[in-house]
Amino acid sequence: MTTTALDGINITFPEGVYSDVRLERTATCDVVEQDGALQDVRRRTEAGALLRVSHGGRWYYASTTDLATLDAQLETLASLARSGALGTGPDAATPTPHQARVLRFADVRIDRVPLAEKLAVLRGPLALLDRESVRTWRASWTDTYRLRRFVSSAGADVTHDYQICGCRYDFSMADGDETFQESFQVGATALAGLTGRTETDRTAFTALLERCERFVAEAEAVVPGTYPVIMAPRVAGVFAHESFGHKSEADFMLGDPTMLESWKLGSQVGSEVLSIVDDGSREGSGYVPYDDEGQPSQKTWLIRDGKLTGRLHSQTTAAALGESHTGNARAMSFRFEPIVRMTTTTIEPGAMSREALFAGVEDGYYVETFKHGSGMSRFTIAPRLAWRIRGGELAEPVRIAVLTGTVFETLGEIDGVSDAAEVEVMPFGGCGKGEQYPLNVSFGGPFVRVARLEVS
Amino acid sequence: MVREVLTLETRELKLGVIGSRVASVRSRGERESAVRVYDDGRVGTASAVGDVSVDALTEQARDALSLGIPYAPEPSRERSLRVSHEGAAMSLASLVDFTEALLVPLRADYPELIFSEGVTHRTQAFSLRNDQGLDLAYSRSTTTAVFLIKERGSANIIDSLAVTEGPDLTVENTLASLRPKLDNHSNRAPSPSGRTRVVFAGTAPHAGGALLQLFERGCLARGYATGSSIFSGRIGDTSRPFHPDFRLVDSRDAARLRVCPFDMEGVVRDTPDLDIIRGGALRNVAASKRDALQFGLPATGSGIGDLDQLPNSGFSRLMVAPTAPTLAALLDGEPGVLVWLAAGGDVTPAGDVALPVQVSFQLDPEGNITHRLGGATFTGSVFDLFGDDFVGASEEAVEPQSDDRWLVTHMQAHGTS
Repeated sequence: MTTTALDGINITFPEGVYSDVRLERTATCDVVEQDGALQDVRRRTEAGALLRVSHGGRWYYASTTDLATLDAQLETLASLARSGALGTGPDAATPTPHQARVLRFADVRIDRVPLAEKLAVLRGPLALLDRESVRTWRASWTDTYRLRRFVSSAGADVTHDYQICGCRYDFSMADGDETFQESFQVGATALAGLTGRTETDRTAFTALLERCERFVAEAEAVVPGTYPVIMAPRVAGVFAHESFGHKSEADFMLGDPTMLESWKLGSQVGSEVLSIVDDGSREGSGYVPYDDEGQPSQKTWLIRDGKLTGRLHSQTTAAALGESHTGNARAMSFRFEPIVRMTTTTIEPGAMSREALFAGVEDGYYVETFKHGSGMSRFTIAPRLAWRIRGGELAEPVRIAVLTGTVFETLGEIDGVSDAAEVEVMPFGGCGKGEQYPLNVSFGGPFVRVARLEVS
Repeated sequence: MVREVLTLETRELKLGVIGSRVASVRSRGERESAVRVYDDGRVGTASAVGDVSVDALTEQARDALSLGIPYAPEPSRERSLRVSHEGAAMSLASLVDFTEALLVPLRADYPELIFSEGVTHRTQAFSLRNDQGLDLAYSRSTTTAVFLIKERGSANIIDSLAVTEGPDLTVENTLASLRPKLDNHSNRAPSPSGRTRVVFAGTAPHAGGALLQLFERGCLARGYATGSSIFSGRIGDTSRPFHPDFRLVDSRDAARLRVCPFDMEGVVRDTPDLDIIRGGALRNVAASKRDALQFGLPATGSGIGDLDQLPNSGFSRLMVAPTAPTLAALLDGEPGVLVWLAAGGDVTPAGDVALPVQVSFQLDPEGNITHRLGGATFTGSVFDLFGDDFVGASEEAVEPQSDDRWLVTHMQAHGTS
């Protein structure tokens, strides 16, 4: 029987079972200002824990905010487990115990920054929205500081923190009967990351507003069909995440022994110019130094030069498939158990210049921004700003509802990747899988050209 | 000064399923509390998760008044209402028995398919009270069975979805709901193409959710009043008409549907169904009390949001009002295509919809599934889907335990296989 002190609480792990506790303390602040008036300020601190007991090949979880009774709740789970409430089988392998303390943001905690400073950052660019074309706007601030500690009956004791902050400016434009909604967002892992680049952000925001004004005035509906498409880095990032990233999460292979043959490492799954990696150690919104089974994150090559080279694992999937844990067992919060998730997923840069990439398209489309994406056997991306490409040059704006394609066909149709990648820090939203949305992730890439994609 | 106290208690049991077998159980118990304090045209809020003192939250909310967040309308008052949509409670043992009773025949009858995800039983109790005599409470319990379906050997993450939800699911009604899709999973026919009579089993996000996005985004007070909605200035305007039979309502009718009868500002509508579109024209846009006052629109009991959030204008349950008794009556002797699993669909600000559909089924004129169809992207304009191409919606529920109704219209299908 092991006893561990957990923030002033002594945890006594039950006997005869594997158990672990993930304690989480999160402070968030959200501010909304709309058309010049403060609408809402939400500041919230919450603490909770996810308890896990493993026995007989089954998992028993409890999510609780009652931190005074963790011992009793663990014992209840252990009793259930010992009774074989869900059936019995061979005990599952348990995660390798690590000990670490990685407090990267302790000296720059965003929850200790006065609200007035956050408001000043949020309000900095608001004058840019004072344009005749902008009918209504909404400026949102968000920040999160989260401390997680993972302890287990096997001796794991890992503490790490996570932080994100940022602003988003949603605006609606109208020109006659035509309307258009777009947003501009900036994110960083500390306040200094936002205040240190305000001029760059203003320039980018102004340019976006000007392009949106042209879009709302001139955009015509696309004629549905199959066309060459170039994706901007942020769109290429969501494409990587939705088209292939979810297929690299190994839990979808559980229960089907044929999967190891279908998804044999080394098989060609895309064009030779395509390489995709997932890396939880990279600073940003997908930063996860240790996952929610206490395993260190790592850089995992999912596709290298078009060949399948790796996949993402939790303890359960790694054991089932006979591969190594990759530090990708993640939970959205203490309310959920960890499942296999991505972290920061990017398409690696290639060799072509951006100009050469565009020059290769005689008649196609350039997708600059997007609303959302999804991925199953077919992936979809819903664009916002999109442009026709004529003779290798950007031409008129075009309204596209959805880009879609079959995943493997499209991965094989990628025929050009530019030589510089951009990775988004995403303070708002995140990835959804099953009941867990939004999980903080990041993605990005270079400009990516697809020879044939369904556009409608 | 007026104080308002909101609480939400959630109890949940989920059985996780992996590889068609129960693999885990998760219990969750949580209480959230929030306090709003209104004073002199301002509002202050505070919230917490867990066992907290309302007095302490009140103090924090009072401090938050100094932020100067404007809230001009009067808080709701003098109304007491309690509504419960709770079914039978499920213990862990009964949830295990229920889930195993589903999985045993699913494993035996569909060995080529692998089922994962699980069954969740959730009870939530919400209350909104203030010291002006407002005392509203709503509770709901529901069981949801969700199975992601994968064909053995398939390279896809999921190949189909089986889902049903209700207050009192039984093994019999759950299997009756799942089997028609499973029985026809391998009974393939080519993708649809051309103008197609399409059937939606309600407007859940996994099926026809994209169809109503234009209304969800465009029929809100701020967008309407600031001229940034395609519907701006068109209340009562029949110059770009919808079909005369197309009636779109936002329902808070707790006697008919499992919906909360009051909004997050404590408003109980005099008439629970709010007409958005009726008689071919826009009739109302959703307006919270705060937005209504700011933009000079009628307040419609449409404040929505999280417990710790000041309410925004939005919809409770946007749905198409029935035009015919049954799906068979809507099909009127013609076959149709049931859109079952769509993902990532969207609509442009001009109303052009594209709906990439992963799984659809051929229906005979009685509404019975006969084949599974190949993938397709369905396109159309919202103004046609609910205009000349509109067929109708049914009185008949999609399933006996469901609040969803069949919706039938026409779209262009672009087959992909």
